[in-house]
Amino acid sequence: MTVGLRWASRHALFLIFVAVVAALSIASPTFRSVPNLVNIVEQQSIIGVVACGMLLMILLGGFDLSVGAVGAATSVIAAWTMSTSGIVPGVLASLALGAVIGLCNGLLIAKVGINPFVATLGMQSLITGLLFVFTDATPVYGVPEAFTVVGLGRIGAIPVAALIYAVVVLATWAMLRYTTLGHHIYAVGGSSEASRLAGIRVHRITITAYTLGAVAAAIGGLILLGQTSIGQPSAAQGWPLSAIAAVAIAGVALTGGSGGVGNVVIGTLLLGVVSNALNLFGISPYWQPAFTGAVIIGAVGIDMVQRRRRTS
Amino acid sequence: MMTQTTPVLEMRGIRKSFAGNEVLHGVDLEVRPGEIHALVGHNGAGKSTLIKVLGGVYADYRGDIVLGGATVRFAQPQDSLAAGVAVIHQEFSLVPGFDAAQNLALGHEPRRQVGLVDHGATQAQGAALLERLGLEVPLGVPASELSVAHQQLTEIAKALSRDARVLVMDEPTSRLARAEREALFAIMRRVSAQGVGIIYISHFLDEVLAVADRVTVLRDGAAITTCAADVLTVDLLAEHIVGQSIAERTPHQATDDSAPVVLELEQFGQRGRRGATLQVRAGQVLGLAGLVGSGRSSLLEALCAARPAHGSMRLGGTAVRFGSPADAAARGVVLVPEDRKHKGVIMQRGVDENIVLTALARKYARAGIVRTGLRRRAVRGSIQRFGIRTPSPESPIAALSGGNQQKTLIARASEADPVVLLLDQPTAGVDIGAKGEIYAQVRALAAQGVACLVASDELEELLVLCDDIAVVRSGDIGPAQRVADLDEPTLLAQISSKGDHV
Repeated sequence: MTVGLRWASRHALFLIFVAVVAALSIASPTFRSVPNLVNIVEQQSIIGVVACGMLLMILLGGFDLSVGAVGAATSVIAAWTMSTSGIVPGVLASLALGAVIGLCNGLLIAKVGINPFVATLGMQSLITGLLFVFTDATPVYGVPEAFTVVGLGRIGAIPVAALIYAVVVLATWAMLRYTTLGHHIYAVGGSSEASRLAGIRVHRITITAYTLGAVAAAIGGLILLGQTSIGQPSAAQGWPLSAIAAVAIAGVALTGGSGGVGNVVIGTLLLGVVSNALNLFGISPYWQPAFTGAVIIGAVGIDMVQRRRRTS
Repeated sequence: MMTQTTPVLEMRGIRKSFAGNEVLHGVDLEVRPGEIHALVGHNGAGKSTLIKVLGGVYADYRGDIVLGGATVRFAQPQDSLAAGVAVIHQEFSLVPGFDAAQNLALGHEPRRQVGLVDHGATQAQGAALLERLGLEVPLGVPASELSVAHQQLTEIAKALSRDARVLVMDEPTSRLARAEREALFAIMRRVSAQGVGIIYISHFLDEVLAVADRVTVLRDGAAITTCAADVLTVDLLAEHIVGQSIAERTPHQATDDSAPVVLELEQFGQRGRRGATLQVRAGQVLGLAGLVGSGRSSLLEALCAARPAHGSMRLGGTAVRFGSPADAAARGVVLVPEDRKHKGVIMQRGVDENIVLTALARKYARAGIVRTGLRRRAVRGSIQRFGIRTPSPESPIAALSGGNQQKTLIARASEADPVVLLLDQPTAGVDIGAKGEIYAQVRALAAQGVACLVASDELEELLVLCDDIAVVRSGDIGPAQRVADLDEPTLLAQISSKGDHV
């Protein structure tokens, strides 16, 4: 295989993304307009932030189905706290609730030994149920007008939500590359038994990763609240699967141990681009899930074929 | 039991190569009907390759297999099974959730008219089969909850239910208690009395002599001798297995007996097993010799708290009790584990990450932030010092040879500034050149004052590498003996008897 081909096979996702964006840009002047492109990034910011957290847990060989419930619960508690005590306490309450739920997920998985699928599925249902009970399933109003800047505001041409997304991406990248926690997440995801025998505190790494993952979901919940101004208990139900889809499209093996945040960003944006294009071309929204599914299967399928060719 | 009729099985001039490297050099094996024929030899002597040829796992061999007078050639395991050769591997192949009767019926379950499984008939047929064979296995209990002995009887029943003419049993007693072993031997004798030829593979030489009619010794891919068991002794057999040792032992300087004792164990061991009492001095390399399952690995893992332990352990004179391998590593007790692929290296990651895995947080990071330059220099230094042949420091470790992976693990342990280094099968699956390098590296660490404990299946390795060797039998550790006073046959005879300890 020539050097060029090898590069292409390693960066297949990036090339697909460029090709899709180029094709759509040629086909549609509306698509290639700057406001539309900025819009796509803004719309994908929430899922993008949640996917960064999801990446940590998938690198460990797990995942988190409770991020949607965490997003809803943290935005509701933020709305309620903001309506009584102001914005800063609201933000802190939201992040703290996210951290506590993530800590519980981590403890259940690491210490009790419950499988991540079951632990976070149970947590998802538990949180949603409690949320419905405490709010009577009604939205929470009274978020100060000023807070909408988080969801809708712009600095120049750049959406604040996209900025928050960029900061989370950079933080995730730096954490994975430059901290012992990041290095250990990869090691534990690669082989938790080998890591344990090598003197890594596997439980601590697992608990930290799930906590950070839920905090990312809480940040997503805050951006959502900034967009809607309403703490909606039934919001965010699609987050877990969208975030897992973004990470899977990025070619991150669900068995853990390898993968980076860069491809996750491309995966997230690719999903946004496809849904935006369907909109622009006036295709029925009913087609949306089918296209998303096709993108997931197509991207992961191509990645698997490439990988097999590389190892053989 | 022996009769001079046609052999039930003849293997003639069997040759088998892997990638151009011949591992069986024309082996002959003859099994008579009603005979228990033991097959003995070192790990790597070719026993399992020979059995895999017989079992149809390897189809690309040269030579002939003659079964009951007719030449046969097996292309796949099903063929050999259909021809009447049943192999019971060390790892059983029972469906864990099924009971004995269901396992016996597997693949040919009795059915009702509409095609549904007839559970009543399954149980009745299973019970009848066990009774006909005279084997007692409780029915209605899933295989996963049966004792090892009962699982084994189920395997035997499964093999015999298919009218096996040749029954191969690979290390059948290694996981059995004494009474169960005696019961198994009685069953083997009864089965062979019905005309079945049994090939019995074992490391326990005293058991081999007690139960077998004839013994064939394999060494380095060749059948050295076949003779009647009653003319052999354990010592004679050990000599056959070892042969003339060509490896020259380069005696290293004897350890300084006045060096301080670093590690002191008193009745220490994995929880639930017998404790061990021993001492290791600074700079001493102490070998643990024993058979598979004798408790060496579990002792090493208990020492670094990878398994729950009991008993007293003193490190540099102070009593210690570690809660996890991380605690142990922080105090300088590090393990290079036995199962390199699964418990040692992190396959998906680079050589660099594997080298600094244990030491990263302690030596190459401040406040959780990795000091990239320092880490890179350490990785480069280790790759050079331990002679790890890798295209680049970041190359995935999966691309390296077993020897270089093992050197990476020793580099990882060395990076952790060990006080006590625990090595479990340090050269398993490693080529001869890398072996020498690894021995030199371990000796170099010992010369720096590290106390080393080495468990190995290769006696020659222990004799070359260690200062002293202690024999482990059933979790029980004998006294340390100076290597100068030992040779391989003596050591083999010591570890190969399951007789109770003195």
